[in-house]
Amino acid sequence: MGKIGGYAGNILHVDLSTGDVIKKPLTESLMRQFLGGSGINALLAYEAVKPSADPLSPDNALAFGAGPFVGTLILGAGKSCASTKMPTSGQIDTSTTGSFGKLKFAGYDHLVITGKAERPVYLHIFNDRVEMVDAGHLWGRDIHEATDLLWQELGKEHNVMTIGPAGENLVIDANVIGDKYSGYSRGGIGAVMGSKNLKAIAVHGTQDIHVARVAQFEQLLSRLTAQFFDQRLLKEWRRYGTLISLKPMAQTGLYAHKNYQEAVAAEKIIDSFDVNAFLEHKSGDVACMSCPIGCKHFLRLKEGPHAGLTLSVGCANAALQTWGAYCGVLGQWEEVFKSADLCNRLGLDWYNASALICWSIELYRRGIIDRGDTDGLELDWNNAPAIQELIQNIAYRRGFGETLAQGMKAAPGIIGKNSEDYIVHIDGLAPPFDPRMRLSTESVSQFVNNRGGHSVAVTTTMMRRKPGQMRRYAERAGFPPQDAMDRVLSGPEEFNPGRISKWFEDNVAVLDSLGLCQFPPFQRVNLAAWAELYSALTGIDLNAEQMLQAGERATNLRKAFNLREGVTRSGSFQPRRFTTETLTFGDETRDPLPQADLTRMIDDYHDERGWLPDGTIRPEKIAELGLDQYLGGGQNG
Amino acid sequence: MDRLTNVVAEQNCAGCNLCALACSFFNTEERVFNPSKAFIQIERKDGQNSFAVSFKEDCLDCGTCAEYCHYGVLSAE
Repeated sequence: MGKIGGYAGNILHVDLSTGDVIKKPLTESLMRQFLGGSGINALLAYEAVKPSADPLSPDNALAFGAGPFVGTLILGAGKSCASTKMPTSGQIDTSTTGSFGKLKFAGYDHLVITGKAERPVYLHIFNDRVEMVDAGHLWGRDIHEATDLLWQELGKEHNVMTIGPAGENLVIDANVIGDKYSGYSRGGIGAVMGSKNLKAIAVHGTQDIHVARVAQFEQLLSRLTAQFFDQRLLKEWRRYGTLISLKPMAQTGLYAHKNYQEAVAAEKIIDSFDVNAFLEHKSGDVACMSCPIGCKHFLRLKEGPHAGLTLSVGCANAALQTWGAYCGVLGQWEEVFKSADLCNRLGLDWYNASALICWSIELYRRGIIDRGDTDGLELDWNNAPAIQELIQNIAYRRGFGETLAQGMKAAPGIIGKNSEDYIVHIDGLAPPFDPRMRLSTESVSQFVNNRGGHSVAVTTTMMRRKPGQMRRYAERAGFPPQDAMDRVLSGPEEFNPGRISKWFEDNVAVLDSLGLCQFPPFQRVNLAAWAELYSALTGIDLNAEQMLQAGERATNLRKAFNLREGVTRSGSFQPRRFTTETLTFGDETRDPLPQADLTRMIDDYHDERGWLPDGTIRPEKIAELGLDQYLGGGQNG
Repeated sequence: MDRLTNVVAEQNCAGCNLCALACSFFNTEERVFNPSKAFIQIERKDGQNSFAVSFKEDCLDCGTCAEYCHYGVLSAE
């Protein structure tokens, strides 16, 4: 076989404690077993994080990866992944973002960071030159300031991944933002960087990415391009980004409101957030590398109290969900984007920060906390200035913000009383989708995935589909396989939410491993097409079934990581609200989700995975996936 | 001589780099992806996600970049 294509071929290890920098070859065996990106990251994190490590100690590690498709002309191949032991729960993270792909051009597929620097540093990577540079002048700066300074110092061609004051202050929900527009948002990766005195990573390179079988690759690329652009709604994706889903999500009741006490009535949210008014603020499209859609936005607020503010927004719909719908700030695009921008500068996860603030507002309204607790802040729905002050107080750990900075698992214990009854998180992460409104992969996967309360992805189950549509989708996408089809695609809506979550999860694991976007236009591409492209690009022959199994292998390895760290099904936190309270949606009310139904769906998921009901992995599954060699003696920790 | 490949709407550039990736892949002898070997340059402007697009002096004017631009930034006659 000739030169392997796609991969840069190296893993870069940096020990911040010793200053050691080691470049190791990426083996073909790892490529075949885990593909790359989040898949190989799973193994790197399993090996580099010391068992039982405190997530904010030098014993934790950060693994970054950009898959074999990144840096090529394959459409949508701009995603990098980060994995660590998350401060939010001690579980393993798999966060993806559209920046940091230049790691490949520097000559690396993966970067593993261990230890802790003595004083604040940033990591500068330019090809073989890897330096830990003093970051005294960056420490304390917000993300935009720090990014600008690094672009001035190093050149604007660098991908710059930065933490803000929240990460420096070890705020549990701190994130990492790349090139001011896209980030590793959930799980507290920013706090892990902060705990290592690592302010930023700046990377650029001039290395080649090869193609193993050029003629075949070109042919397959042409076919992919033709089929891809044959899809509907691509222009709308460009124009509206994720707001393309505003109307159907509103009609399905997927905008949780006031700490999940309600879902916003469809007309109310559609009228409050006119997409044409949003377009008034839009100044341009922002794209991840190799993306022909460009669903992200560069905004320049034209009017209102924050006129003149410029910001880039990755997921505008998430901004609307969090800083609009959750917090009751309806009809005020400017305030929604001001709150989102504050978080992007300070380095805070929108979902958890907004959910913590919503919970605080509810506690305040119920009289569980008062002005004495909130440093005089009057907390109420739709009070954007107070919400924005609280965002800053969290990032700087000021007053009541110090309590919220401890994260969703710890904060109720600090406030006490019956505050835990009202907090809505699943294993430390605020869930974007309320299962009382709709049982789908989006809502059910939040209870079972390795990270906790975040959906595996937005999938085709988000909305009710026409009869037969799920089966047609499955045939087009190439999963689940024929022998699982009847079992998985059964039920009132022609899918079993627990069982189908397994297959979407494995498919998304493949996309994350290859470096592809997981948005619907990319999920819909047949797995066999990705497999053919992979084989032509790399020269390593894998078929669709083997790729899907690689996704399954990575998911199981992440599960094994969690089991090793003592994460159990019985210890999982679920919010009371979903299973005990009715939900209002306009004129309708929705019953609580019966606990027995939820338990059955989780059981279904475990059964589909080949796991035991207690969440441990069956030995046969470990053997089938060839994971024994990585897990040592203790298969489940 | 007038160029056939031109920047016609720089403000539309979203920074995807497909043009530079295509240029390097189709115009290097070794057929590799490497934006630093491309004859088209995408440079960040004003510390924001907006971009300046320009051609290097030795650009071949082959039009490949325009073929791979999905944002209407480039045009090839």
